[in-house]
Amino acid sequence: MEKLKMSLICTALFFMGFIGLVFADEYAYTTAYFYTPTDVSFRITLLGDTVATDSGDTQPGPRTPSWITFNQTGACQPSCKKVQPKTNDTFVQNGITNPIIKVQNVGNTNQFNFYLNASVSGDATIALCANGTVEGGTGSCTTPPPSTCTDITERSTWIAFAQGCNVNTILDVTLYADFTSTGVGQRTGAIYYRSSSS
Amino acid sequence: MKKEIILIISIIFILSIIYLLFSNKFFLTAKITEVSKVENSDKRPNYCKLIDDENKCIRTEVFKYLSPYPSDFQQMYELIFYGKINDLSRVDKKYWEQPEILPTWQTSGIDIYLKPEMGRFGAFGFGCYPSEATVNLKSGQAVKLTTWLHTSWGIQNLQGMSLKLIYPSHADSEQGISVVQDPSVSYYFDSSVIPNVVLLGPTWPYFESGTSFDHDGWIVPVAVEIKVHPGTPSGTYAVGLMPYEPPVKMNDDWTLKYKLRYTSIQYYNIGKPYFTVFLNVE
Repeated sequence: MEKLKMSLICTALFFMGFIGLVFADEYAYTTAYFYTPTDVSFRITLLGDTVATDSGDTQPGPRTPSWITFNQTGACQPSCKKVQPKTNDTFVQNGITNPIIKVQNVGNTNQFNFYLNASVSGDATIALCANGTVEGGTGSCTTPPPSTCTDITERSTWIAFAQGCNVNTILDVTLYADFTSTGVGQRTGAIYYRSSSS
Repeated sequence: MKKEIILIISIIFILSIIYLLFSNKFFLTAKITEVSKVENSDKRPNYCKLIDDENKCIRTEVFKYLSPYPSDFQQMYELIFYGKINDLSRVDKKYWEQPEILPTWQTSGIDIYLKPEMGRFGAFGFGCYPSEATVNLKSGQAVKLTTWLHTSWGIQNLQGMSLKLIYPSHADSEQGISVVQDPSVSYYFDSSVIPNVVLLGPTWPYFESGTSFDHDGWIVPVAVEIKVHPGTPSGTYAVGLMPYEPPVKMNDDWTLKYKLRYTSIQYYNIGKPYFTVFLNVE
């Protein structure tokens, strides 16, 4: 009899535990919501090859690396302005007429802000600056890009490069590096962006 | 004699059955062929425009990896755009993998494909549609939402990224909602995003999607689930979907596999989350 009692208690406890587990994290799901048909997106083009749509290549893709090279050969005073996405003179930045980067607000929301920052690992002697303009006939920004070259190597501060840019605005961005205090050698670094909402 | 009559009748009966079967089969075959023809025919509009006195059209090869453009696509587009479909996870892939599902196809996409800028290439770019949702719920309730994470127009690279949910210090909606909050409000919620690592496919020279590729395609449904803990103070909160660098191991794998076709995400701080959920907790 005692054994039967014990078995019954154990079985009851087991089932209660099971039910508890099943319902422990139970939340009712609401359907009271709606979406806004907005699209937040951006597009960046660099100087380089464009693959043709009739290339016939089964794995078409860029022949041009997606990183940027600042190439100094010989004297470069006061700053080096030869910027290119690879060692190929065909794709070299030429001031604002041929900027290294173009940023486009390809979403359908107007308050598009664009931030810049850069770092060159282990070498504080290299300075990077950027300036830009809103490409003619594309749109506008409440705070347009700086026309004078603005330092983007300030590691502790994010540079608000342009703010409040409306739909389809294209920002033409030119980059410059200053190697005047830098020794011989190759350096790599990153131009990157804070990954949180402002 | 009787036997002979029965035999003849049986033969006629069997022949009739065979005839009926075959004629029906032929009939069915013809019918199926007709239906397949309709199903396989691509109803995609032609995109042509007069540019520099020349009539230019988007090449159909651009869409060759996508399922055929459904004949009722525009109806589905309107239902989504005007918020008549609440549960976007139920929308079939044959609709959401079409570039026309994004409203920006008309405002910027067509032009980018009609007139690609020579000497430049699309290196980076992605976004979310829809990019906002407003939810009314009580503490102790939860919500599941879907957004489509997509590569921007004319991008040649595959882009690897991790996805995380954040609680931004402030957020503004297109509907006029403004939220200022301490990011520590995350304490009130359990939230998750699936998938949390994505390898987006290119949109140039083709929209890559489907089983021909081992990346996630040019557009990926992303599910966001938010549970509001019981006892959460009433108010409006914002939860945002943000991309980050992919895990190092996956980044290395993808770099080795795709070489110059691959990049981890870059230039992605555009000042707001790509998908923001405004939670009105009662």
